[in-house]
Amino acid sequence: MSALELVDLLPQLGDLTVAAAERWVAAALAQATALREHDPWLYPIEPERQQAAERLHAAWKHWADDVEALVRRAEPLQPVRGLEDLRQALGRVQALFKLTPAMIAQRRQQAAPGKVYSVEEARRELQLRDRG
Amino acid sequence: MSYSFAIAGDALADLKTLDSWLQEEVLDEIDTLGASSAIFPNLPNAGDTVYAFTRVHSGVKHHIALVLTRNDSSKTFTVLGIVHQIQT
Repeated sequence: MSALELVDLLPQLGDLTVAAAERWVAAALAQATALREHDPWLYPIEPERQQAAERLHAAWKHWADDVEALVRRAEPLQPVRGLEDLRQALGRVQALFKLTPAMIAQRRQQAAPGKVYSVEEARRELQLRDRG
Repeated sequence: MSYSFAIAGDALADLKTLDSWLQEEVLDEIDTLGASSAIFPNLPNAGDTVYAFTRVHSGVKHHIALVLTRNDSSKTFTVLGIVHQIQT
């Protein structure tokens, strides 16, 4: 988790230089790489890991808030090295925010005894062209 | 290691919220994963994993993430969730 709240801090520090932006971008990417090492804990099967999963999601949310602030400040400075990679990492995690550990735990329970679809069945259900 | 892929009802409901071109892309990606486990990144020993990919459509980048649960006894991955985010 970031020790600095970039959302609040950056606006108070005047104009951001390209060099400073690139340092912050590199730091944010390094933090994302470290957080991704714990991906298997995002949606754990074991109930006793749910709390840790919630905290990991909170850490990612904190990271995303900082990165959104950084991207807003860095965008006018283009080109900033690593900024596109950072946007990519941000998009991935913003997608994942739509599924909480609790939602996946509930879905897992429903999927175990319930109906699952093959890809072909899903294509038919969606009335897509069968590629098979 | 060869695993088949299945899609949970909840994930199919997720898929139905996407545009049809993106539905096709997601199902093609799942087909590709099923055909070549070599491209699948760092599988955990058990439990769930996240697989993410991007597509560019009409100049807009789309991020898609799949939450997958793995069953070693049935050699199956079940897609539990499909989420989508447009890059801002």
